[in-house]
Amino acid sequence: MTGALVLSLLNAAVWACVIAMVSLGLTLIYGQLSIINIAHGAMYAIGAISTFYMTAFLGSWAYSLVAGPLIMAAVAVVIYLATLRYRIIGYPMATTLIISYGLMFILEQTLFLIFGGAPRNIPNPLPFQVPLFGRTTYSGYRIFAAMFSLAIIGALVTFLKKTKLGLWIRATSQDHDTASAMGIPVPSVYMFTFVLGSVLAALGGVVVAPMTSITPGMGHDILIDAFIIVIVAGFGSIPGTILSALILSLSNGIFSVFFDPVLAKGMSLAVMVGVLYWRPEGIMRY
Amino acid sequence: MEGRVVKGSVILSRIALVFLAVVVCASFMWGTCNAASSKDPIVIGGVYDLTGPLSTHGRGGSMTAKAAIDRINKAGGIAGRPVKYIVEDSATDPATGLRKLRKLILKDKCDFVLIGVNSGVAVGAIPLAKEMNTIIFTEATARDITGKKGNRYVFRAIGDAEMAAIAMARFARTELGKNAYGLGADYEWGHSVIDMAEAVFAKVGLKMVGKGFSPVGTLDFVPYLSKVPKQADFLVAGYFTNDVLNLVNQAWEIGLRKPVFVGSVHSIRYKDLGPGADLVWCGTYGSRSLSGYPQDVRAAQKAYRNAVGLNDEGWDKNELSAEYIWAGWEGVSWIKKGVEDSGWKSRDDNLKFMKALEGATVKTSIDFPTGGKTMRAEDHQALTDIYVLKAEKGSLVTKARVSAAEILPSYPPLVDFRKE
Repeated sequence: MTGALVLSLLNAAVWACVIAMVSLGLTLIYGQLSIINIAHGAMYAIGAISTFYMTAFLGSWAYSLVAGPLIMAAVAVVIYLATLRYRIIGYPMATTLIISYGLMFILEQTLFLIFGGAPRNIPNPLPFQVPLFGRTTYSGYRIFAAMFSLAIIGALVTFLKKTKLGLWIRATSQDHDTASAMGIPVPSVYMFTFVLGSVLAALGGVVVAPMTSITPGMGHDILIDAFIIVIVAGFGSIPGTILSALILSLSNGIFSVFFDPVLAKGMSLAVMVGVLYWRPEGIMRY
Repeated sequence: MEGRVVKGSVILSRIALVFLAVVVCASFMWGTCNAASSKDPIVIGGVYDLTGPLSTHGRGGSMTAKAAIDRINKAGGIAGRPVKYIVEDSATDPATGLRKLRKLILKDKCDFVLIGVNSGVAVGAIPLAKEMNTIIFTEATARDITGKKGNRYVFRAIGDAEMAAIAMARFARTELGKNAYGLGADYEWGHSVIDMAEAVFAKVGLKMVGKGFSPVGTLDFVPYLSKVPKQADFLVAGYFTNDVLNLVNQAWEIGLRKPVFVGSVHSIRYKDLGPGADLVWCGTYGSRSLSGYPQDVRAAQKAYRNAVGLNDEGWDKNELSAEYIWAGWEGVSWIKKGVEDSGWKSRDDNLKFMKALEGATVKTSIDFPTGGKTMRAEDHQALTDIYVLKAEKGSLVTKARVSAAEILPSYPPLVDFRKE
C-alpha cells in the first residue's frame, strides 16, 4: 500500500507541474485579454506534433524545446492579427469564445490533415528508470518533465514580477485605459500575452509528447482539466493556478490508491467543487 | 318530389364513382412512382467515426466500403441497379451516430446502412433498424450485438470479442501464463473484451485475477497499472489506438514487464509501441501482412488490396492498416449477395433478404477476400477466422490463424433471430 501511495503521489505531482504550466497559459490569456481560449488544447497538440516532426527529422527531442514554442509563437501571431485583435476591447466575451471555438476546429482539422488520425509515439529522450521499491520503477523522463515545468513556471513568475514587460502586462490586465494613458503600448502587450499563453500550451505538448501518444485531438482532456484548475484558482490568478493544479492532481493520486481510479477522478472533482463552494471567487484573488 | 330524390341520388352516385376513379388512379400513380424502377439506385448509408479516437477505424471501414461500391458500379451495379453511397461522421459519439443514422434513413432514404466499429453506435442502432425497417451491417465487435441486444435487422460481417477471446485463450495457456488481469475502455466494447476473456478463460483453466476500466482516451494509465497484482502473468487490454500506445509505454515506464494481449492494434506501428513492444499480442480479425493469410486466400486478398490501396505489408497511403478495415468491403459484398439471391427490390422485401442471407455460405473471392465463410442463420454472425498477431522484429507479425471451424464448438449462438 505504501509503495502504491508513493508511486501514485509521485505521478500526481509530475502531472500537477505539467498541467499547471499549461493552465498558466490559459489563465494569462484570460487575465489579460478576457478570452476564454477554447483553442488552448489544440495549441498543446501543436506543441506535441511539432515535437514528433522534430524528433523524426532532426533525430533529437531537444530541438523541439526551441522549435515547438517558435512554431506556436508564429501561429499565435497570425491568429491574433487575423482575428482576435479586432474583437477584444468593447466586445462581449461570447464573441471571443466563439472565435476561439472556431479556431479550435480549424487548428485540429489542419493538424489532422498534416499528421493523420493514427496515434504516434516518440522515443523516450531520457530512457532511464528511477527505482522506487521492489521491481517498481518510475520514468526518469517524467521527473525531468516535472522539473522543466517548474523551471518554466518559475521563469514566468520572475518575468512578470521583475521585468518591465511583465509590469506592463500586469498593469494592462488591471486597467487597460489607464495603462494606455501611461504610455504602455496596450495592443502590443495584448499580442505578446496571447503569444506567451499559447507558447505555454505548446511547451506542455512538447514536454508531454514522450509520455503519451500523439494525436491531433490530444488536447481535449487536458483542456478540461486546465479549465477546472483555472476556474477554481480564480480566473487570472497565477499562484491560485499552481495551487489548484496541485489540489486536483494530488487528491486524484491519493484517492486512486484506495478506490477505483475512475471513482477517484470523480472524488477529486468533488474536492474541487468543495473548494469552489468555500471560495467561489477562486482560491486566490491575485 | 320522389323523382327529385332519385335524380339527386344518381348525381351523388356519379360523384362517388368519379371520386373513386380518381382515388384508384392516384393510388396507381403513387404506387408506380414509389416502386423501385430498375434504374433507381440502391442507396447504402454509412455511419462511421471519421473523427475522434476511433477515426482510424472509421475512415478505414468507410474507405473500403466506398471502394467496394465503386467496383460494383463499374461492373454494372447490383441486380442492374447503380449503388449510391452516403457517409456520415458519428465523431466517435453514440448520440451523434444515432442522429446521423436517423438522417440517413429518413432524409436520404437509405436502403441499407453500414455501421462502423463503434459498439456504442451499433448497440443504439439495433432497435432503430427494426423500428425503421432498415437492415444494418456492422463492424462493431461487442459480443451482444449478435446476442441478446441484437435483432433480425442486424448482420455482422466480422468476428467478435468472444471469438477473439477463444483464439487468445489458446495462446495464453501455452505462452503467457495462467493468471490474467483485465483492463478495458469503459464502454460497450471494452467491457465486452474483458467479460468475454473472463468467461472463456474460466472454461480452459485460466483465471482473471482482477479487472478495471478506464475512460476512452485515458492520458495517464499509471493509477490503473499500479493496481495490477503481482500474481498476474499477463494483461488483457480492451483498448484501441492511442490508449494502447499509452498503456504499453506507461506499463514499461513503471517497470511492469508483463505480456499484454490487446483488443486492437489497428493502425499502430511497431516502433510507436516503444521499448515494451515485444510484449504486445493481439487477437484480431485479419492479418496485417498479405503473407499472413493462407496460400489459397492470397490471390483474392491481393486483388482486394490493389483495389483499396493497401500494400503487401498492410498499409495504405494514409497510414491505415489492413487487419480490421476489410469489414466495410465485405459488408457491401453481403448486401450485394442478399439483394441478388433474394430478388430484393425495396425495403418491403427485407424479410426475403434476411432469409436469403441466413445460413448463406460464400467462397473466397475478391468479394470476400479474407476467405470463405458462413453467415450463421440464428444470430446473423459471420463466422470468420481469427488471427493472432505479435509485435516482434520491427512489425506486427501473424503468429497464427485460428479458423472459424476451430472456434465454432466453443461459440454457440446465444439467440435465434428467426423466431422473431
